[in-house]
Amino acid sequence: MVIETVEFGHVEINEEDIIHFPEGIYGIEAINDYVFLERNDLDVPIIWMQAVHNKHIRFVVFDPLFIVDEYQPEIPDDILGKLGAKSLDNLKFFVIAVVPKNIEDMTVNLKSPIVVNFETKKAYQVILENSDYSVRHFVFRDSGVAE
Amino acid sequence: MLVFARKPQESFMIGDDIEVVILEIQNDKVRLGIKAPKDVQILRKELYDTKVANRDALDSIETLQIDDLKNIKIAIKKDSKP
Repeated sequence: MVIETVEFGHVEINEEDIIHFPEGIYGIEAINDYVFLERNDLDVPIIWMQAVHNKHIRFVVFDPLFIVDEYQPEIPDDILGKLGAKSLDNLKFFVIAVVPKNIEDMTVNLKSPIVVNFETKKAYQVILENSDYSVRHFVFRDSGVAE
Repeated sequence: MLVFARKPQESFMIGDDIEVVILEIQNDKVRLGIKAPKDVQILRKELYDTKVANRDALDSIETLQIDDLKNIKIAIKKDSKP
């Protein structure tokens, strides 16, 4: 099928690429189907989480390990059950970025990642038990690098 | 910030309509009960913050230039830990 996007125009996707969010994401609960698109030409691991049926709903997301050296999410058991995952090994994590005009101020939400089970094609935005992860982690300032 | 002590089963009021009851204290967790009018939205702070951050993320895409993404690459490579 072909979906409409703002950045990439018409994009051909396979039905099996569609990931279902039974509860949407926080604040945007009514949008339940997304695809994860990559831009090959940028040579950078930025992924677009694009709503299938609404071209305006899309997010820039990253693999958290591109941002931080270690990511050890503590997921509530009921969420693992909902995702149909026996362990973390079956799951893929993405963190949503806020990309302001000044790129230096870019933040990612390490506290509430998108957790995807690509086998069951299900995903949830999960608020982790980890108390040390921030909803607004400054990608450049909080990276632990001396100025 | 107002700070005061309460025991389990004691409560306090916020305004005339909202009552917060301390139900149980165990180890590092406190269980609270909240009685409030239906139109008062009660969210855990991290959930509220996530909602706002999602909305900000969505808004930020509207002004995003694809060229900026190339700068992200340079910036992350420059600043990332060795």
